[in-house]
Amino acid sequence: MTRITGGEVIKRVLEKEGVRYVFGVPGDQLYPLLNAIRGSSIEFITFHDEASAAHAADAYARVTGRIGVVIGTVGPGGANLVGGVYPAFAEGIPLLVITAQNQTFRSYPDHGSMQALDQYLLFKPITKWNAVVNSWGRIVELMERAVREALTGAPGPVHLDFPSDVLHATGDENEIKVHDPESYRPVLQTTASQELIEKAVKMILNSKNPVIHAGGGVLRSGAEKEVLELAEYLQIPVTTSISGRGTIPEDHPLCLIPQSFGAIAAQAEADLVILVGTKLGDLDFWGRPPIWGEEGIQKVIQIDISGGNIALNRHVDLGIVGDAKETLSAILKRIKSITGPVEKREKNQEYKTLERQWLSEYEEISTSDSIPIHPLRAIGEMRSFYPRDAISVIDGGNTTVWAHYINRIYCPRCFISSSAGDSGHIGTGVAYAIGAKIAYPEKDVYCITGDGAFGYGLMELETAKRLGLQITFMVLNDSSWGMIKSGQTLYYDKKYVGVDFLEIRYDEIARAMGCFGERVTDPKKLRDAIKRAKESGLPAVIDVKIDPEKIPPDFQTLASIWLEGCESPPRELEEMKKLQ
Amino acid sequence: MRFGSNEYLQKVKEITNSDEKYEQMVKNEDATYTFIIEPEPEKGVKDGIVLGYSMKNGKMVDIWPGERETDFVISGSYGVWVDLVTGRMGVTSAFLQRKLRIRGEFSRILKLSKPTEYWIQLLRKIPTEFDGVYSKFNIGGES
Repeated sequence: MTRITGGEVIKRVLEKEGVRYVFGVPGDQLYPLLNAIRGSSIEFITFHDEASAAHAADAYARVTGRIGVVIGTVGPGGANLVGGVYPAFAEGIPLLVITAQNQTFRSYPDHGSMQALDQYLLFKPITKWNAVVNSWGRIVELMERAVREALTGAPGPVHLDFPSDVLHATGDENEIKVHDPESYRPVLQTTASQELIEKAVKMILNSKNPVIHAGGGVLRSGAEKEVLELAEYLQIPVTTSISGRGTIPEDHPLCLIPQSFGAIAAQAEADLVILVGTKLGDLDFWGRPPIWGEEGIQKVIQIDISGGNIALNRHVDLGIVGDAKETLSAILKRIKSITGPVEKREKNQEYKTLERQWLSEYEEISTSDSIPIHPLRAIGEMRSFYPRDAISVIDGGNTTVWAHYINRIYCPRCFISSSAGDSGHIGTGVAYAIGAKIAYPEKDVYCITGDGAFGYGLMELETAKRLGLQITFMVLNDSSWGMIKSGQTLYYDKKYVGVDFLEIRYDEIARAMGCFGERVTDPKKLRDAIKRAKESGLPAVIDVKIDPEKIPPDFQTLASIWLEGCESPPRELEEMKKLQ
Repeated sequence: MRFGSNEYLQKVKEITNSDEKYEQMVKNEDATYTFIIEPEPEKGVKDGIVLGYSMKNGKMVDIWPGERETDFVISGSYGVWVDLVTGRMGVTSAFLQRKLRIRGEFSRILKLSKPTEYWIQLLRKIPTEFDGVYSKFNIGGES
């Protein structure tokens, strides 16, 4: 008889699930789990902060499509995980979050233990499902259930809280059976009924001017090939949500870059919208006119893995609950059996022309030699240096908006950005880049970040160095919380509150951690600096002094989305008087 | 001059037609427009304003008070128009925020957004008096 700890049982379930990496910060209560992982097929990646560990696990899940696993200890560890789990929850990323808890006999309710925290309630609103594991004998059951919940239907993070006596407890290994994933969770996805497929096909074929709008659900389903094939077969333009970027290469003739004038026109004028894996949130303008057509006039087919997302923000003419890949595949197969390919649609060129009009100004600025460096110049140099399949991590406020204009995405799961996602969480970039590089060490990974955002994950440069990860971080340094400062510039007559930092040399900090670091103040030197950064083989920081006066042209529109329903910020009367 | 008055409209035409850059920007964009500026009695703006104009070969050939059949109808509250004319809000942003409602081909409106932003800047050259509470935003115009 071999007795094994609760930690060993957890490890065995993770191994069966094919987990390669566990991200986290260690803690006393976690000893049995850490000891079980040591020497196993699983590698524990330690971070300086639990939120960063969760971000890395999140990125790993985003780029691989597998579940990410993160652990933290009781109390402060659990509390620090929250910032990392929240964006995964907001953006539907499958994470297994494991926390240690104080012993069963002194928690729930606590009566004075150090680090006591009700982690069950803490994680409740930011996970799909969670539980406290109160018995060694239930570990397998609840681990399997947690993984099933994370990966089935609309994916998302799940949380298990393990009291330390359960982790330390031992039992006979013959008393438990660790199962193959096929036996505890669905491994094939659901397809819609043939009746719904037929209805969808009829609507699509009757449409004169359709558009496909693809969200993050397409990427999570792996349905990008089906989207592209349907689009090309019927010459349907494709727009994406921000989290759906990469579904179609952004230089494809049928792709209309999100929020470009081309995309907006196509969405507004389409007689049929095929929504796939997206809930039409605020960055999709809630699916409302004028960015979209009027309900009742513009038809909508919505395909989503979750019934709860159907008609969440806009009524539909046909709601289909099903996996994007399976459902689109069935639709495409049926269409091909009915009709041949469409050669062209008249409106497509017009939309591309509008997109070009929208883009051209930004592309022109991205060649600017001005000093201080224009953010678009720096971003343009970074994008053009790296190959099409590089993984692009974007982090920050204004940085994210600038990057949207010219940091094109060409392949699925090559774009990670929570600051551009449903959580709007800045400070994720360093850890996201680490998680992505761990998943695909052979791929180029670069991160463009604002200086404020970079500060959150700065110490994780040591993590990247320790792991030997060559990632280039470009810090667009304006010594401020640039986006908030922009708002105070535009709406509060430059009366700044809480937005300025000291001048910091991020390149020097990087060098102090054994990384490559270089500051660039002349745009003509950017390219060589990026090259040197990559060739160093080290995690690299390029600190770019950007022009702090530049405000993204769409700042006002974004601010209006976020502050919808609020009285317009009062531009000071003095400002108005300047016009008089 | 009072915003929307006949005198104001004639000045709009004069300023529009004297700007070569604007002419170049819209020389291939012949169209007719109606602007509906809705009253806000609670803010001292009792009367709405309806005006229209036509553009041909980059020139404003006519501008008129009242409603006619036009290619585009753009409507919004008086306060929104004040925000536009005074530069507190951009045209594209106003569309996207649904503060301006549009009837007409949306893709053409988007195509014309940059020229329209420029044109609005031109209007700031006109000394303009606003009604009601908006009088505090009166524009002195080009000296």
